[in-house]
Amino acid sequence: MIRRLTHPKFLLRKGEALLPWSMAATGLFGCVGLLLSFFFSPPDYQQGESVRIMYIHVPASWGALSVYTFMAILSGWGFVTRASLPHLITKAIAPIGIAFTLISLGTGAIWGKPTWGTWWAWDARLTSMLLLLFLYLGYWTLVTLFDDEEKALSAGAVIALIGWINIPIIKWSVEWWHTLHQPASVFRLAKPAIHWTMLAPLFSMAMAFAAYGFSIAVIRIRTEINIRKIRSHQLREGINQNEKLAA
Amino acid sequence: MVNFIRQIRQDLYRTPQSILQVLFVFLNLMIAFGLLSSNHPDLWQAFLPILLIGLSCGIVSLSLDQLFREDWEDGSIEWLMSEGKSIEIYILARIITHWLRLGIPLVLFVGLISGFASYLLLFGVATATLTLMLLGAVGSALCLNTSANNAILLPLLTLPLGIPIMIVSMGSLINTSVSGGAFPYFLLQGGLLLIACALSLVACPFALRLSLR
Repeated sequence: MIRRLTHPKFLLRKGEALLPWSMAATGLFGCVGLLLSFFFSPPDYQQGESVRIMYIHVPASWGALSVYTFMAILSGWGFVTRASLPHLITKAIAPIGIAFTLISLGTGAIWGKPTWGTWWAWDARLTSMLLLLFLYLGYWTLVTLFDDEEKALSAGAVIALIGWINIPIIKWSVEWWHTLHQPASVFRLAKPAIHWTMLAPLFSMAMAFAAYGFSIAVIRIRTEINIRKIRSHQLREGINQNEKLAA
Repeated sequence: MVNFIRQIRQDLYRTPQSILQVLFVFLNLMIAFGLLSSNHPDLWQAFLPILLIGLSCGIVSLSLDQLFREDWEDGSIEWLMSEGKSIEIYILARIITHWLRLGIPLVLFVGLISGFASYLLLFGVATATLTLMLLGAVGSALCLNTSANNAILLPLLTLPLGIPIMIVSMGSLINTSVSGGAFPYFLLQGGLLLIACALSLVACPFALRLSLR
């Protein structure tokens, strides 16, 4: 079953079958979510209209964290089964995670200016997010610097796994540092149980982000597999030509 | 065990110049900071421990490229692997040697600069440097065979891993009055050291094999 699941052809076929649906879901949930968040959700009683940034900021942060988790799971899978496809998928989805992290940091800064009065603060969450960006960038630099692609993917998988073990340690140490150093006073958002008029657009936007990430992932994986196909085809052509020349 | 100790002793005899260079950078920086801050002794006293730990971590991460480089270039690592010897023992010996010739001098420098006033600071520097070396060894092993320069790569790989270490060891100096005693920080530093040791001895052989392949 798992052997079949990791077969590139099978995976590609399933992914491509799902691709139109996930694209449609992106459009649908995105439109509904944006409509809801712009017109039907109330402004916050403290933050006013700027609270609407949340509907992009929060899904992007969730996306950034979950993409890294996926990368770590895939890397572990790749090590256990010694298959190359999980590593390939890890490489294919890394830029999506980078994009989500950048969106999260960017919108966070834009949101922070009117709410906290500053673009950036050395808050626990912000710092862990910045370090997540560095983990992503380290992975990406490592994977793109190697000559040999097979080796690059394995090396990246090592870093993805170590980084994943490190994420809770970073989160805990940074948070603990902050809470010990100065108790949360400025950054405490008075947040009651979130009302459904705000939850609905948030959920809808989260679905849109997830569907978007899935679509892009399928397209990127397809591209990576096709690149490999072309390369092996060229290799075979070259060998054939050499044999002809020799004969 | 005999081999282990013999290797450490042999490695200590041929300490490369670059380690000394890194140590002198540290000394220069401390002299410069000390001179600059002579007008504000209170500020200097308050910032000195953090500065010392931060600088020693920075110095260690600068030196990480040296960890396996020499043995890599003269083919010792390849020979060890082809002989089927235990590469884990080699790695541990290498890291401990590196710590003995860089970590211990750093601890001594830090002690001299701070006047051996705080044993917490010395302990913090000692564990932080060793933990950072253990974790950085993985990155260093992965970077051995990259085609482009690893000047950007190595810090990018080690920086996120080093942050918790620095936070915990600085926390032991700053938050003692808040949390009531430094003992929890001792435990935390030791715990991080053990995690790093376990991780490093699993990931490092793999990384070296990967670079060799």
